[in-house]
Amino acid sequence: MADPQPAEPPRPPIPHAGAKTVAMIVMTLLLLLGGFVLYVMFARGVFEENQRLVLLAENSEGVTIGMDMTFTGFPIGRVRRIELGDDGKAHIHIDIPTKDARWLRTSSVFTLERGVVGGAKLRAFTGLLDDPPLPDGARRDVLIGDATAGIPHLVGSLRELADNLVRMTGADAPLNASIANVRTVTGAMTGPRGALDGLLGPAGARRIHESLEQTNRLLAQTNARLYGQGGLMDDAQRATGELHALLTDVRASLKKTDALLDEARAIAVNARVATDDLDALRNEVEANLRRVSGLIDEVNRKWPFARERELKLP
Amino acid sequence: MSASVPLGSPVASRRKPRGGRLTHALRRESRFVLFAAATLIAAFSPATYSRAVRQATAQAVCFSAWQALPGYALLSVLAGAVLTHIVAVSAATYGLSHLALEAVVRVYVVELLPLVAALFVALRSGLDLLDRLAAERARGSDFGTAALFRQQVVPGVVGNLLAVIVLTLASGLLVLATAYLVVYGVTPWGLADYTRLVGQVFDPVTAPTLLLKIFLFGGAVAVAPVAVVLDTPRRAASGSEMRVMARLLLLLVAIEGATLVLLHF
Repeated sequence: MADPQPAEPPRPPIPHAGAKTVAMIVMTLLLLLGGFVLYVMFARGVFEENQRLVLLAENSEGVTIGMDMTFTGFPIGRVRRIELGDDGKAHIHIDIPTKDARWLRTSSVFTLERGVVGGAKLRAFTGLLDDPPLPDGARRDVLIGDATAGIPHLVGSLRELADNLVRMTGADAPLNASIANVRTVTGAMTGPRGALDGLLGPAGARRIHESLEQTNRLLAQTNARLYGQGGLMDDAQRATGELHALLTDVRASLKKTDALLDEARAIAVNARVATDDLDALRNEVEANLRRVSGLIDEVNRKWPFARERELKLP
Repeated sequence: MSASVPLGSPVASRRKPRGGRLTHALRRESRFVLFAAATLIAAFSPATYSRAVRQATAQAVCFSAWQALPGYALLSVLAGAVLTHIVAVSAATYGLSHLALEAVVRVYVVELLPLVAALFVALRSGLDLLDRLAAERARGSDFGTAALFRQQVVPGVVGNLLAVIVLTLASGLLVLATAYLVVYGVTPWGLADYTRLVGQVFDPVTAPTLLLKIFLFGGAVAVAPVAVVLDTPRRAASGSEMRVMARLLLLLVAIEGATLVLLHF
């Protein structure tokens, strides 16, 4: 059967429709679809050479495939796989592009943080960049910081606190008994003997009262003996006057002693001067004696009876 | 293709079905499915495209995709820029600006744009094709003949299918670029972060699912209007737009729901 002629479209024909269609198909398949697929593959790191890292965590909650591991806020790795290991821990397999692996060292620390809002965050910290690089396929424990982990404990504490409050405010609670006792004490404090009745009871308060009265009487007697006519204070005042006169006499005696000492000092000065004169006199005497001695020697030498000094040998 | 096109109209007979309403509905839907499958097979068969069919297909593709692309791309970019700005500002207010771009990509590019592109093509060229085929059918044309089917139906199907794919991909990539410019500005220093974000969004499940969804949307928008040739001439003359569009909308929602289930559960 021969194909019938195509029905005439109601709209005017579009020029160069064939070329446009081919261009559109090429653009769709090659540029748009191919470009999109290649871009997504590039974005997912398909063309990057990766290094493996396995993080061991007690709990991998919040960790998802494809999530980033950051170093100083920059993503340097991507979670590739999560599995429950034979050791009962979560094994988080991470792909790290080789160009970013230089930030990870053997001393690097890895943390998994979970906030109250937002997802979990894997972070790497490297304190010493001079340490050896992290080897491929390394296994490291991950430290978990969970902001919500404290909530169950907090809720438990709050519940315990509420229970304690209920117990404390119950009808037979010790606190109620204590408050009743306080009320009794404060009632007693409003009595004639005031707070003493509340603190010590009626008998104790009476004894304190009697002690105070005795103390008052003792104070009155002491006052009379000390400050009364002919009391202890009068004797003390008289003795003080006598002591004052005695001290005056002592002062006069000391003045006389000072004068004697001044005279003694003057005598000592005179004696020192006389000693100096004696020294000069002695020097002169010694000089005269040396001259007399020399004169005698001269006389002896010149005198006919001078002794022969030469020895005549036989 | 010979007379293998299942053009026995599912609504041609007013007789009461023997198996009750459910059986009747199932039989009708199965005829639609068979018709859709045969139409798509015909569209993908090289033997379909004789010279005349190729010319008609080129006209249909240019009308559905080429002429619609600039306006639709411009509207998508404008809407994407406004939406990105709103989301970015709102997220920054709550201190969640790092989630703004991801939200825009996930919601606008992955979910909204394909659906909007499908509806746009359905309302623009799908309705036009529907009206022309309904008029032909009302005049008594028998689309059971392979030549008429190839000449009238296949070009429209291919045109609408390609239009949905082209419009979705082009507007999606343009919106990706626009979102980057709105958030980062004209600077290359955000490209690494943005590329990483795109890589996180389009994971090995999301990217194929998005492509599958685009093709399914394209198939639905391409085939649903031409199903009017299954109607009787009298029924085709009575106006089929609402019925076909309602069926198409239901189909699109089903595809969207299925892909959401695939993505998130």
